[in-house]
Parts: sequence; C-alpha cells; structure tokens
Amino acid sequence: MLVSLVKYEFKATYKMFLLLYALIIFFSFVNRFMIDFNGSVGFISSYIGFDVNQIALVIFMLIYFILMIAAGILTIYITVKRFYSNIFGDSGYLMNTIPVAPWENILSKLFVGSFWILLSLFVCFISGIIFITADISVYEVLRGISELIGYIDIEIFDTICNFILCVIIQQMSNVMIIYCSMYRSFVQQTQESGRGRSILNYSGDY
Amino acid sequence: MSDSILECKNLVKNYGSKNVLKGINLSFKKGKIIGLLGPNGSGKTTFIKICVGLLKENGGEIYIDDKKIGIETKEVVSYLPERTYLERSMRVIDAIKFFKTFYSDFDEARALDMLKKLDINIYDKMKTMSKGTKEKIQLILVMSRNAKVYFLDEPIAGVDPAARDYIINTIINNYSENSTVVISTHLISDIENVLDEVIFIKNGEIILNNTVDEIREKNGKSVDALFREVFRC
Amino acid sequence: MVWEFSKDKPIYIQIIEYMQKGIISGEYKPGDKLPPVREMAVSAAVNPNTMQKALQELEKDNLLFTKRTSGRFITEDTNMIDELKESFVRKQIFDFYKKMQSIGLTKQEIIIYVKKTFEEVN
Repeated sequence: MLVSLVKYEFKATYKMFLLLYALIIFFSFVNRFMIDFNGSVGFISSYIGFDVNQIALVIFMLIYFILMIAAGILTIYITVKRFYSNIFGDSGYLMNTIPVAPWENILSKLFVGSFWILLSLFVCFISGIIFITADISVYEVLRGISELIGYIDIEIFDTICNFILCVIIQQMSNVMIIYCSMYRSFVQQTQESGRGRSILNYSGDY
Repeated sequence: MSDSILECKNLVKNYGSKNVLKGINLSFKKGKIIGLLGPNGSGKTTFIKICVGLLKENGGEIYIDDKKIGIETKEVVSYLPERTYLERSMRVIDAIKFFKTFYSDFDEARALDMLKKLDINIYDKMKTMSKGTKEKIQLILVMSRNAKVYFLDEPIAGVDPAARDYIINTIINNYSENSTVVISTHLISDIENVLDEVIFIKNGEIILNNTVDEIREKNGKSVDALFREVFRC
Repeated sequence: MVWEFSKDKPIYIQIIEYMQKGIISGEYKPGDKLPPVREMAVSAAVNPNTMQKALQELEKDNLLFTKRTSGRFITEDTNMIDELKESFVRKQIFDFYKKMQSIGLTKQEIIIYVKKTFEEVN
C-alpha cells in the first residue's frame, strides 16, 4: 500500500519538477556559453556584437536566477500544498478513507517531498558544474573529481556518507516539522482556517 | 455471522464544548436501504464521518462488520461525501486506477460501463466537468465497489431532477442483499420510495427509528409529511 | 405500466393493487413471465425489498407462481383471475356506495344517477 501511495504521489508531482529541472539545465548551458570567466566575450557573442550581447546576457542570467529561486520555492510549496490539500482539504475525504494507516499516508508524502528537495539540490550542483566548465574544461573537471575521489579513503568516505545522511535526515525532519505543525493546528480548530495559522504554528514548533 | 452490519451503543461526539452526538444507539441489518434524516446540524454528517473513519468518537462504541473502525472497516465501507473529493487535475481514468489500486472490491468493468452509458469521456479532467457530472462520476466510483456498507451523504442535494432519477436508479440497481446503504438527506420525498427504514435525528439524538411501511400504516401519511411535522420550526 | 405511488399508504400495498389491476385488465396475461425483481424495482423506482415483499404477497394469494429456475409467472388459473376481478370490482363499487351514502343518496337514487351518466358516456 505504501508503494502505491508513493507511486501516486510521484505521478502527481513529477511533471512539474522535471520541467523545471530541464529548464534549469538548459539555461545553465546557455549561460555557460555566453560568459567566459576570462573576461573575453564568449564564442556566440563574438558573432553578434557587444551591446546586444550584454543585454542578452543579463536577461538570461536573470532568468536563470529566477529559475533557481523558483525551484526552491516550488519544492517547498509543492511539499506543503500536497500534504495540506490531500490530507486536510477536500481530497482528504478520499485519502483518509482509503484502507491505509495514517502514517503510511504521511510517510509517502515525506519520501516524495524529500526526494524532490534532494534532487533539487543535486540539480543545482550539476548546474554549478556546468558553469565551472566555462572556465575549466570538462576534461579538467572530470580529472579534478576523480582526483578528489582518489583522495577519499575509508574514513573520509565514512564522514561524507554520514554528512549526506545528516543532510537527508535534516531535510526530512524539516518536512516532518512542517507536517506536524500543520496537523496540530488543524486538529485544534474544527474546519476552515487558513494555512496561515499552520505556518505560524510551524515557526513556533521549529 | 450476525445479521447486523453496524452496531453502535451510546455514541458520543463533541466538538470542543459542543455536544454534537448525545448517545446514539443503532443497529443496521444487511440488505437494507436506510435513510438518515434530520435538519442541517443535527449530527448526520458527524455520525457518518465517524463511521468512515474521518472522526473519532469521544464516547460509546461502534462496530462495523463486528470490527472497530480502522483499516479493516475502510476496506468494506464505501463513502460518498457531499463535496468533490477527487483532485481537479485528475482525469476520470486516473480516479478509476486509484480506486482499483486501493480497493480490492472495486469492479472496474461496472464503472466503465456506467460511465460509457453516460457518454463520459474517461480521459477528461475533473475540472472540465460540470458539478452534476462530477457528482455522477463520484457516485459511480463509490457504487462500483462491492462494499458491505455504503454511506451516501446528501447524494441528491444540489442536483437537477433528471440527475436525481439517475442517482436513485443507480442505488436501486446496485442493491445487494449482502450490503447496506445509508443515505443521509433532507430531501425526503424524492428518496422515500427507495428506503426500507428511516431514522430521524435531531440535535444529536435519535427521535425515531422505524420502517417506512410502519410509518405509513400507523400515521396514514408519508415519511416526508411526518418529518415536516416532527421538525416543524 | 407507469408506476405512480401515493404517499399515505405503504408502497408494497400499492404495488399489489397495481399488479392486481394489471392482471384483471389483461395487461398481464395468464402465464406471462415477470421481469426479475431488480428490474421491476428499477422501473418502479422503489426499494427491491419492497418489490419483493409485494410479489411474495401476490404469490401467497396464488396470483403469481415461481418456477424455480425460470422466475415468476402470472397464474394461469383463469377462474382465480375472474374471482379476483369480481372481488376487486365489488370492492370499488362498495367504496363508491359508501361515498355516495355519505352525501345522503339512497340506493335507488344512486342507480338513477349511474344510468343517466352512462347514457352520456359513449
């Protein structure tokens, strides 16, 4: 049942995220080819002319940053909204009457929410790498990464794993806290009261 | 196996300081269509929400199919709430898949057949449909399950007369001697002919629990007329 | 058959009356097969239990009989149908008589009025 819930959660959210990630990666590439950390103008721009290039660069960078911010907001927004509307909103009439335990419902949303958060972080990381290749060639980047991996012995690997685990757990607990405070604030009142109250509760709980 | 599908003793429910259900005693037998009748705010919806697991009672006992309310009862209880509970971005086919995944007693063929007869395109999204169509779709999904109890909360309110006929028709068509249908409504005259028994609920208490035939024989008037008398403002 | 039910009597009783009328008038012929209970309930828009109750009563009165695998049938006993017709008609007449009596008519007066009315009817 939990697997079915997770699948359902995924199907409902993946389109939006995949589109966003595709856009971020696309614009990372575009921007990467438009600038050149050495200061010279980048290979596309040399064909177009200086002024147009400046404006285009600014516009594209702007779009890029907006996308990054959008990714962050979207991830959090989707995580919260799905939880809210599926469990407390009208869809709650469906989700809470199917034969699953409440914890299965919450856990499925937690898994998927955390997954998207982590994936967002990963995409940002990739995006950063793409930028770096503007300055350093791809070959050098890969060489740098494999050197880095070469340095990792079992202790450092252990530490890195622990660190990643901590990040994951920290993210999940963040999400859990949001969920719990929403649940608490919902249980306190009978019906319709906005998300506003639950956000206030969230900051209190946190 | 007992004949009764639902037993409840002294059921109490409070919302804060407000006492909404004041000790309900009921026993529903299999194969009956039962009307839960009362004005708005009398406790009908609260009672149903407890039965389907959306609310927890504060006192008393309630058993469905000899079990306490929980995952096992949700497997055999089919619930049609008053509002649209399918997500607006869902397509009809998604809703069917959902029901199929989570309910083992869901009859996909029956649902598809009923939808086809209404000329509903299963690839349409819920948000493109009129209110009446959405209600019919939800009803079809709920009634396509082979559940032991069906709880229909105001299934014909806010729906045009032709749609009401369709809904009543569907309820009769899906009747089974092994299952019980509980209909909560205040539109009694439309549905009276379909009910075996009626329960009048007022301010969280049951003030009448009788078969429709007895009421008509004893009082020489319809349940609707009796209701108006009893609940006169 | 169009089913229209009044609100003050139990429905199963009204179904019985409808069926009786149908048998007497010949709308249901002797030996006719009835549709399944569920189908009849749907067309009358009533609870299947109610329809079943009515049909069982009619069966008790021998106006219907069940063949175990094939369903319910109208009786083929034409004597019984005639008897039913007579008792039905006589009851209607008796009720009519009571109504006329309540407005003060004597039996002779009633017959005169009936004859007059019949002359006007085609």
